[in-house]
Amino acid sequence: MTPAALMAVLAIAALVLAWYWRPRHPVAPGVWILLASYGVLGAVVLWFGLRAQPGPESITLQIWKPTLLYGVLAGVLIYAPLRGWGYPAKAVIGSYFVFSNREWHWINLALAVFSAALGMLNLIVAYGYTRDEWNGFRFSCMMNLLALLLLRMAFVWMDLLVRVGIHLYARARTRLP
Amino acid sequence: MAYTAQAGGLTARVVWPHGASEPVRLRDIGKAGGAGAVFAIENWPGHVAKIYHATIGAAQLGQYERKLRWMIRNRPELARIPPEHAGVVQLAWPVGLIMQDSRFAGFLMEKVDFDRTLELDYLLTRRQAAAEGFEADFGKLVTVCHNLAALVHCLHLRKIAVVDLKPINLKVYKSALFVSILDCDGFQIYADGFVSEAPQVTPEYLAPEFHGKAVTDPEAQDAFALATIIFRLLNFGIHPYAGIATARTPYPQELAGRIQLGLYPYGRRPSALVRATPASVHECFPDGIRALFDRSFAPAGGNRTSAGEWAELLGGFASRSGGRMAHCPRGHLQFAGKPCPTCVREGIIRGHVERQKRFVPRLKVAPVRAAVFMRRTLRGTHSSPFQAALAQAQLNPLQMAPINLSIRNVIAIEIAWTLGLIISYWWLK
Repeated sequence: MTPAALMAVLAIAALVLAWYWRPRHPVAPGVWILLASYGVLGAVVLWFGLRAQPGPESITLQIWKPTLLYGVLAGVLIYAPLRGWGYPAKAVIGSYFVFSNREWHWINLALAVFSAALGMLNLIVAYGYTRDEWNGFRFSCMMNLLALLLLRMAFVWMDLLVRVGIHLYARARTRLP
Repeated sequence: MAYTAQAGGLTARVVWPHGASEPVRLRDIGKAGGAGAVFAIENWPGHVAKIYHATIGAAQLGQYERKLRWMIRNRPELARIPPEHAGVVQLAWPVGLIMQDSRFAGFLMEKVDFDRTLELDYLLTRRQAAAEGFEADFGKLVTVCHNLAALVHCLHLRKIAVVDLKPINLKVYKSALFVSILDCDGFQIYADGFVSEAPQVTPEYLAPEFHGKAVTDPEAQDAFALATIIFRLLNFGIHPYAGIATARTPYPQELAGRIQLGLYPYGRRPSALVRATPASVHECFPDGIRALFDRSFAPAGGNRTSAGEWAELLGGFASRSGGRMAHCPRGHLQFAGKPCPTCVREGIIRGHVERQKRFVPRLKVAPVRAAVFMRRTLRGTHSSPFQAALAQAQLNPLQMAPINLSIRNVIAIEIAWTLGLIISYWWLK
């Protein structure tokens, strides 16, 4: 099994588990649209991993990939609130944080504007500056993902780990004679 | 029985108290709580329906049905709303049952207009209230406190208690200043011939005698929570058990622990164990109000101020003709004969800012201050208003809601989120 196929199997297994354990309360349509968009983006990733010809990606694809991602994200973030479908930013940042709807509105809008700006900036840097400068810009963009990950780890995953720990400890105690 | 979300909405029947029924079409509005979800009703703009989640067991659903049938028959008598404030809904009280396939699924209630209201929680921070279009002053705050106390008193007269009384469950009408209580199906009923428990409580608003136990005296619990809310409304959001330890005795970090130990520092007779937060303006309250607070937060708790007593006393301050409120020279509303709380508060904050500006002298004494800061941190005896405010978490811009989902649900969400992050990484690399 190739590494790409193994990754695909693991991703699908994780998705099945997530579907099986999903919360049963209704989800805002904006979040469904975001999930569907990421489903399509993920399918493209899988296709490239499993089917694309070996060798380096074309430079045009490399340049347009970040812009496409940011464009999709900005589109969903702008479109969903206009149709009254909630704020997809809640799914990106985490609905565990207590903000009023008014604050979520501005957070959602800020994230949309930020994504759209980064998408455009990517093209400007890619076509207007040297390859090294564009690579530097791309890696700085990845820092956004790292920041999101750290935020999630600090505020959600730590709490989750504690809860899992308490749950396992309680189960272990009940099994003691 | 319960709902399953459908794109086009749900079809159900409303059963009125006199037995007649009629079909309705429910539309999901994306508002869900722990027990159920709220739906709009087509062509009925003044009502909404709460439908219980599919995960609620049959026994629990049966209890809800019996409780709701009792509540529909025993609606409490509330004070009359003046005609200029028509449309004010003080209780999201059930008015009919919702049935699906002849089985109980939820209930119909009057709609609280969220555009005309704001969460009472926002009134605890002036800046947040102003951002929501509500310019808070002590006249308005006393009126809100009075209306809340009067509402709770009306419920107690019918042997109904809120129990989980807390700001987040309360809405305030921005212009009329009436208060609405949400989640009425969670109330505790202790009437003759019908009893229904309310297991939900919030530690920061739970009377000391009920920590770690069931609430056996729901009126006493409501009285404690009501006094806590009134105290916070009048004291710029400061919780009555937020203070500074003065002794070497252990001082719990959590408010719940301080409530259990009775560490209330704002009494007319100072506590030996804890002192008031410097940002507090409790000295500006009239003696009558302070006496009621002292009774409400007394360690014994047997003679706690009732909602009726609060309503009676605060009614005098809320009335414009009573003459018990006055304007200070700077135009703020204050309690007559007492210092202006708004000016006092501004003075405290201004003093703090001025101190912050004296940078160079502070730099010179930095090593000593660092040692003092460390010692106070270890002992939990910080005295600056800024530190005290931080301790209350009011200024914390990033607050976390308690995660009510099960571990499996949270893991599912985090798996989806992580996959999204991995996909984003591929598209960016």
